[in-house]
Amino acid sequence: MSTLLLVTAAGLGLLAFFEPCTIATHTLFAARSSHDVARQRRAALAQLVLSRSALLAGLFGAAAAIGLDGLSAPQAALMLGIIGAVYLVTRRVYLPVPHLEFFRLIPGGRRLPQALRLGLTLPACTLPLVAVVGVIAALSQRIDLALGAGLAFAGMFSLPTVWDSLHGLNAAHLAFLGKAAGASPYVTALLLWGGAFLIWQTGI
Amino acid sequence: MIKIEVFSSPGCGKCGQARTMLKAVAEELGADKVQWRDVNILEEMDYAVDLGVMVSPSIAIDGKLVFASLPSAGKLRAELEKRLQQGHAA
Repeated sequence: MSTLLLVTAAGLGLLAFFEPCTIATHTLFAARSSHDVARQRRAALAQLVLSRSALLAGLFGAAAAIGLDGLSAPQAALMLGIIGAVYLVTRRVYLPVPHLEFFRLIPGGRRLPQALRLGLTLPACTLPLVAVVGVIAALSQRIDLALGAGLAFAGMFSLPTVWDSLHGLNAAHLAFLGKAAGASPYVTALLLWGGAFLIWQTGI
Repeated sequence: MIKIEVFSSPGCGKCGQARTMLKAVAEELGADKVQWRDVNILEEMDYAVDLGVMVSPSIAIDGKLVFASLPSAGKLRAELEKRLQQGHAA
């Protein structure tokens, strides 16, 4: 369970960056901060990574503390199957799901630096991915593992932004990101359906 | 003629809705008065950064960022009508 939780968190965290509702905002942030002086850039990136890590570690930690006694293989396969289908549906139909902006819960949160607001926001298209990891964290009932999963998800979600900010963005890289954004809902659906198929076949 | 630019990313459902809404509002005002352009942020990153775009979708009017998030149809219509009254239609 521990390996499954951490690997899933890291994998889905990386996938979260490439979802269409997140990639442009994060790449804009990276492009903007890449023009900042090194000290400002490091501070902004630290704010992004640390705030996101705290948020996701808190959410997954809470899920583990609440706990989930069990989930049958058909239930788990069905859940992944439905979530995968949602990603395909959103290619054709707009689903009015808002971004979860946790910074609004803080007094004066709208005046926080963009790095903190970005870190304390869960974009709508990443919510199913966070939910999958949250369910596994709840099943593990291990708060320490769940905190690790939060760090893994947040780290991998932020990694491309940190990389782009430190190394800059050229035309070829931007073209790759454009293609990745277009393909990511299909990749996400395939991965989730693959997981559902594996669970259905093995019964684990 | 008012120039509207919608900044979005490929595959963004919310951006698609913004475009549809914008076009409907523009058509109501008259196609000869409003010109729009879809901007792929990932293809025109420098331009988006120059304008101050921070989130997707965002809307710029006449080369200036006016809506940093998705506006309602009413707000967009009001902004366009105000600009038309100020002489853009001349």
